[in-house]
Amino acid sequence: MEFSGQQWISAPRALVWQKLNDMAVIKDCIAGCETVNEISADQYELVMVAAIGPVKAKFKGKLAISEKLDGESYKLAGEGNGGVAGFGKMAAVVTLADAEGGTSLTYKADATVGGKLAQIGSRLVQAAANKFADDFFKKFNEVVSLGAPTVALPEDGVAKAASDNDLPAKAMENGSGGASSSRAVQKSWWERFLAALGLRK
Amino acid sequence: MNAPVPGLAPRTLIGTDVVRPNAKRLLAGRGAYVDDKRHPRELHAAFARSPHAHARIVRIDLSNARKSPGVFWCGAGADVAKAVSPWVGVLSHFKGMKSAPQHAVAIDHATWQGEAVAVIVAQTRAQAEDALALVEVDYEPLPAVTDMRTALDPATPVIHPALGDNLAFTRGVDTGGVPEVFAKAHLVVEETFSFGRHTGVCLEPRAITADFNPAEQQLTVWLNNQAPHMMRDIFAKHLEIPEAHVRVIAPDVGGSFGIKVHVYPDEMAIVGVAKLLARPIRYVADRLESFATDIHAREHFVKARLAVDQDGGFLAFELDDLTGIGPYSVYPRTSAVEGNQVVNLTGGPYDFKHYLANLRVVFQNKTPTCQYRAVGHPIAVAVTEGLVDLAAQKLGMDAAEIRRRNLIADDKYPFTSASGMKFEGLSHQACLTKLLKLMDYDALRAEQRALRAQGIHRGIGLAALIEVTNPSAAFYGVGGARISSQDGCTLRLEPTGWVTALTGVTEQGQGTEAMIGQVVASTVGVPMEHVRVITGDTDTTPYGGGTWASRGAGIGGEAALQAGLTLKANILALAAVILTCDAASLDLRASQIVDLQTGEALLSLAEAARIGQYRPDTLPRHFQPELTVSRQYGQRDYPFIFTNGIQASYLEVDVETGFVKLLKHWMVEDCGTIINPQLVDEQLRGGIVQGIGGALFEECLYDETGQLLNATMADYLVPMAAEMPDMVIGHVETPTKSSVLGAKGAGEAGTAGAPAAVMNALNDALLPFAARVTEQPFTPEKILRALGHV
Repeated sequence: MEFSGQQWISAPRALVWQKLNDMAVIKDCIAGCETVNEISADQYELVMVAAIGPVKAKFKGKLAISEKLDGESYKLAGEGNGGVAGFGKMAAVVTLADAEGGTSLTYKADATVGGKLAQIGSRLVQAAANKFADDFFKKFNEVVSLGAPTVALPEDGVAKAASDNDLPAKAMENGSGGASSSRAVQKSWWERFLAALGLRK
Repeated sequence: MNAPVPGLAPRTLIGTDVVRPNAKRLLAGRGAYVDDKRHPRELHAAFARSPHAHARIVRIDLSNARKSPGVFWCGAGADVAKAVSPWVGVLSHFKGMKSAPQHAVAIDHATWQGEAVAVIVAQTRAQAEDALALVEVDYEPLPAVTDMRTALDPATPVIHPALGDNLAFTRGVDTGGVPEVFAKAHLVVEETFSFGRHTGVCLEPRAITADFNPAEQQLTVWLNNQAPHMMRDIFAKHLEIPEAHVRVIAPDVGGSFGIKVHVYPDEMAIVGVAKLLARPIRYVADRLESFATDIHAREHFVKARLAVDQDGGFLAFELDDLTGIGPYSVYPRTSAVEGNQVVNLTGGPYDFKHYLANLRVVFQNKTPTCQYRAVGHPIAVAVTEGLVDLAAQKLGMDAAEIRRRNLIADDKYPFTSASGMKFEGLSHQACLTKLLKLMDYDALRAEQRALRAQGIHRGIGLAALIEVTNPSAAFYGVGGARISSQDGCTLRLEPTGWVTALTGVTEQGQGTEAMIGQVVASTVGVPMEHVRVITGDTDTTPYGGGTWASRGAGIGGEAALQAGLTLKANILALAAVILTCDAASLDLRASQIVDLQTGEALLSLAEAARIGQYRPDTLPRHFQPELTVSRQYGQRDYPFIFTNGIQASYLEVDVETGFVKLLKHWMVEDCGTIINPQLVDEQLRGGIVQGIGGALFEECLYDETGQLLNATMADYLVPMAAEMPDMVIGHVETPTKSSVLGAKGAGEAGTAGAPAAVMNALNDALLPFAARVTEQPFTPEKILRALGHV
């Protein structure tokens, strides 16, 4: 199961990279994450609670960062054992690039699930995995942007300020399905609704 | 409409639509299923199941689960094995067949996603499930064998190293000279067919409550199973309890379709734990568990060809069938039967001499497969009928005409098929003629042509079939399985003149009790309302095989008929003594002893029964009234009594979307004597629906690591009423001479032929596009691919 997404972050690339390597930040961004312990350099153990459809379980797993290219990209690999609920594995490549007024973050992930989690069907699991990744990077965006120094406004003035409350909404539009634009364009709820139905781009 | 059955009262109920006595109760919600019954001191079980398709179980830690609220007992494979010995699902007449010993709960080695690795017993099911979250299992995942086409490759891991390879069974049939026939034939058509693995999806999931009473060393099991006596033997053997101390009760059962006639490891575990704990243990599979642990069926990949002469006459069939059965052959019927049936039945309706078949049955890390309604028939019929249509198309011959030329002539019986099957008496030609008339074949073809010109693409598909029914011991008994091919019926004349019937065949919602009641009422000569039928209790019912292989009416019905005739003779003997006349001058009709010639009522049955039970003192000293009788019947004239039939499907394909609209379905069937026309028709209709499910909707989807991906009712598509066509059912009746009743089975013929009829109709509709589909289920995507649209 593959999924990808892109975020525009209103913060300089160096700061984004630093936060990507800050496990305290990562932990805060993982929904349901209870503990993260470093076991060695770039190797972590974590416990998180996740629910997909009718299956809810506490996952115990490992998270490892590898293939680091300083300031540019790394690979995030995780696997979790949810006991009777089954297991999940995920590998994501996160890439950063300079973008107008901030940083563009792209992720490409591949996930597999087993046991009950697989049984409930890819329809649910794909949607849940997408949402999980989306939420993660949205939250990450929020956290990083909040702590970032003021950056120059983009020309269209959409990202008015780093703490703009609309950022998560825009990020969501950008977050899933590998949208081609790295720039969020604010749309009315009605346009977003039509877009969700596939009637508008 | 029926052939008269000798010995029956003139106004026989056989052949009439008697209302099922249990229908009202079930409809009113007063059914009593396994899960409805409460037992004092009962506990509930839940299973931890392997999330991996293939893994080494490194460590299981149940210590935290044991501390969970309400938990009474936890056990892994070795704990359960203290009470339940392992089994091997092979039959000795399947030469060379092999399988590995299977435990109730996996020990060290998990072989499919969903296999039980630990069991938790708690005060409530919810508590047991909460404790499951605390079960810690370390797995070492192993490469999973999922694709049956590479299961035998040297590079593929062997699931059970002790077996040497992943081949469970192989069998060939060769009549000789087949390659030469193909080499010289006017036309050879060749095709590959694949069949999606699917399952039975019973409304009521598998359910069991087991209780062990140590004081009597008595095991009682409430189990929604089709073969209670078989299960009794198995529980006795694997729990080492004398068989007489095992009682299996099958109460109301909410559908079975062959799903509930097998030994399931989780059910064996429940029985074992009940013995260990000496308390009632209840377990009901939830829907996720049902999809991952109920037997699957029909995963086949077939290459086949047909040699034809210039007149469209069939010369030879050649078949190569590969089927994947999961990691174990299911006990005790084995998972080789389905493939074996494909080999036996391919080409079955046709008159030809040369046959070459090869079967390979392989192990894989998916849910075990075994016998599901119409075992092997849907595959054999689809392969045969697909080739027949292809040959007709290449010859420019009409699909009905090529069948008329090749179906076995109705006067050619007894007939032995190229695969060695013996047919007592079939009616293929009469059924074809009746079907064509019923569907107004020529008018339908004209309509199809006219609509095609308007861009509406409709197809007509025909599928002739044979069905295995009324099996002798050839199925299981000769292979060493303790599964009875006989069945019994005990009749008790109550002092009121009513009759209680106890039968070994079982009721799963299909109307067995109505059928037995009808036979008994007709043979004894009492109204239907005066017969009470009891099924599904090994302590009370006569020993018998139960319900499978379409044997309920043919075997159980004949035992009931024989018992009925005997009871009637005994009643007339009693009446003759009371009336001081010759019993041969009497008859029993509508609960009255009457004069055979004049029909004059001489004595009520109630009065005769009263005297027989309470006033033997008024009878001559030498005369003992025998008012309880038992008869057994096993069919011994043929290995199987075959039925035949033919189906037709009319459908429309939207060539833009790939959607299929089923317009109408016809079936003409010959199941011999029809006892209850309505029940037979509903069996055929329900069977057709299940066949259509496999053809268009149902498939258990796995990823390459052996994960089952659609184990919910939202993702696994079953046929729904709105999608089903109108079905027109017709009959030809050729009673079997192997019994007095003359009934053959009717439970599986619908399922046997429907997929082939739908496939042929689809390919007929797609003919102008030179597109063909042969991979079931025929989803819109596959149809669009065939059309080259995606």
